[in-house]
Amino acid sequence: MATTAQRSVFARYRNIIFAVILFIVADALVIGINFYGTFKANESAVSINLSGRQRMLSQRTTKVLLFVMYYQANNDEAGIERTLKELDLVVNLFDTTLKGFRDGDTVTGGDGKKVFLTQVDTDLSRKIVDDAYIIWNPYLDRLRPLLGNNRNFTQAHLEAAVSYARDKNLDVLRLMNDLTSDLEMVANNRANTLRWVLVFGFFVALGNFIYTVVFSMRNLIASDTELAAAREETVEILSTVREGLFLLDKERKVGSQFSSSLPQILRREINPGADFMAILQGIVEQKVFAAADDYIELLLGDRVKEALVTSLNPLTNVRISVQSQGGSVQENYLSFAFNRVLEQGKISHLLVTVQDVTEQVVLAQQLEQSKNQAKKEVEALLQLLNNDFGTLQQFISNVGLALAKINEELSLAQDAERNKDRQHTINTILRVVHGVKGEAAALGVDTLEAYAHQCELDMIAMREGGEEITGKHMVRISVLLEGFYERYSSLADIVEHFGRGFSGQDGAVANPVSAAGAAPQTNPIVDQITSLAQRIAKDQNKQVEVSCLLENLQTLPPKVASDLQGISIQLVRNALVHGIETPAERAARQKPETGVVCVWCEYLGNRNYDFIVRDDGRGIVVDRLRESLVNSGHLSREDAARLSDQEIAGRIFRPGISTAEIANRDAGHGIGLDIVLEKVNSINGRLLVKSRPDRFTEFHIHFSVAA
Amino acid sequence: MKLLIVDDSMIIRNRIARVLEDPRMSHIRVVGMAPNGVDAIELFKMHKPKLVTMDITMPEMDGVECTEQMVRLNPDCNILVVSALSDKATALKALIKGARGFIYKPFSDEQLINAFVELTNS
Repeated sequence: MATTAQRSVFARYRNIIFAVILFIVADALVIGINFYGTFKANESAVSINLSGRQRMLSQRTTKVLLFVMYYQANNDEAGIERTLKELDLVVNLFDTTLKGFRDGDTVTGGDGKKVFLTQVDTDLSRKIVDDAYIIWNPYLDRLRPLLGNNRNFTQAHLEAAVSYARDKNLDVLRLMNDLTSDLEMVANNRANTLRWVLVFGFFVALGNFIYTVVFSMRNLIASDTELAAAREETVEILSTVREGLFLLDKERKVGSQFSSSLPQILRREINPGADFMAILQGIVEQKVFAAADDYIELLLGDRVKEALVTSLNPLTNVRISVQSQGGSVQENYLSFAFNRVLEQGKISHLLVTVQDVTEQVVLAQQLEQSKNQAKKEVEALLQLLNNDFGTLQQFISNVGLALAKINEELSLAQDAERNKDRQHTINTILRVVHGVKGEAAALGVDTLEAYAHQCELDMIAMREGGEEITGKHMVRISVLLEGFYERYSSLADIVEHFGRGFSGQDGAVANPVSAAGAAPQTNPIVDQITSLAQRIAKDQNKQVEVSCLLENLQTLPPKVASDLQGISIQLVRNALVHGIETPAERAARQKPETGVVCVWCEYLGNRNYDFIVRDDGRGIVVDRLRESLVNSGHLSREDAARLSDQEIAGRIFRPGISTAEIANRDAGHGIGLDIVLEKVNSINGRLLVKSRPDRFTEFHIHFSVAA
Repeated sequence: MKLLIVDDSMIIRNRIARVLEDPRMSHIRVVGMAPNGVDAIELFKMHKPKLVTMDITMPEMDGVECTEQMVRLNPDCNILVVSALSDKATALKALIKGARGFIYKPFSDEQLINAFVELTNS
């Protein structure tokens, strides 16, 4: 990857690289030529200087010879000696210099130091030097007797040399002049060449510079255009994308560009460089915020593997609360996704994508609710199938009657004269609802039982809320009744379909279970009581055995049988909740861990019957009842202390009395015995309660059936 | 590469070990299994494993503290948190203390293998 990147960088800057190389090469060339030129100029300067000196030396040789002749004529030995030494020097200088011009050699320069004299290299110069040698060689021959320490010359030698010097002095001078001129011309030519090289170098550099500038500008403009186009695309993407998009830096600040939907999704103004954590803190719960802080820290660090932590993102489907302008708090669900952004292999930013997933989350919740609802309905249906169809029909009919009764009570409550007695209305309706709840529980119709329980709680809250019961409360009860009616209707429909499915040609209905031949015929009331008792025992963590002898019930008129069924449901429920103790309690009192509840109906002859519900539990705990009467405001503490245990026990049938410590769907609302009393009255029965602490409670109903 | 499995459930310990029998995991060798953090630290000191799978909820010493101690003993060890925690915050704490990855229990063979591949792929 790195090689590809390097290649692309080279391709991008290739022209600039060439320009730089060209610049260096041209510069090096110009400098090289310049260096060579100046070296040559230096050589030329030496040559010109020495060729000028040759002119001077030729003159001086002549002059020295004339002085030798002069000192000779005057017999001045010292003069002769001095001038001959000078002659040695001058001749030697001229000779070596001329040789240097011809062959190139190191000679003594004008300042006495050794310099290298280059060989002349033009035809003219070479010819001049050759011509000079033609004159100089004979000249030197004539001078030789006068030279050196062992000089031995005669007057003739001297005159011959002087004579030659007189003849050729001007020729030598002219040749040396010509040589100087030629050397100057060569130097001029070199200087000119150098100048042109410099001019050429300047233009190459200028061309290179112009090319580089033009190329760079063109590239700059192209890259600016590209950048502008990319920016435009980014802006377009950011302005159209539905998700909130932004980059989060290591300081956890929002980047300079973000999608325009971001402020809308987060429901607040967002500025570039805004502190993301501060934004988050304002919209999510503290616990989620702390986890998000950890998660972002992990992603910005390089220790954890991104793919192995995404499942821990605490900002998935996270609930946010935002206060709207009207002051109300709005709740939404958002999902934040974080992805690492790498620059040269290092984590530089996190790309954050925010989506409003409220719709999806709400749909998922609704789906879950629907599934639960459907599951409950199926369960309810399966539960219904456990019951005898006749019992179900009876139950539906009872619920219908109950609803009619409630309706009637509500109509009466609208009557001006009865307005004052709304407390009574609520109590009556509560009793009816409680009765339905008991029967629904006995049949296992959980949905109706739960709804009845909810209605009960609502009405008890009204009754005990401390407010005066007004029309507003009646409206609320009407709404509750409507809900009741809906459930009743759908249940009635199910029972009707159920009936159709199992009804015979003559309309007689068979028990679906027994029709299949899988179980023996049983008394449906016994089944209801037994299953209700077992269900409550399970809820209360108790153990119970139910013993029923209720065959006589089938011989009774339906109304009486139905009332006795209602009574048995309430009393068995009471026995389980208040009477039967937990296995531990029973064991502590040396009683079998499993409690016993007996329900039986005995025919006494002469259309007289006894209906008895008895449990072997703790009996009526008078002290607890006394306390409950005081706490519920039914008795003052003084009256409670004054009344006998029997009188206190007699008050268990008053509405709103319960000794259950925790109110739940089975007890605690003080309604059950109220209903029992009402139903006993309805069959013109007589009720007797017997109880012994820690031993038993027995409800004994004596009644007669008209002929 | 040596692996230490830390989980209070024997079933999970054996399950992880079984997944490692896959040919793609042949470079990983189980050197020890610990049912709690205290035993895990002992085995960690003894075998110096490069890889550790770490449960969070365990008796005696929980996974967060155990992770912290192991990272202190060897900052280069690769710890994979394997947890059924519904509380993401606690799992994140283990990662902050130095674990490198996380997967939920229960996991499929592929999920665990992919996690090991990701973890050992530097």
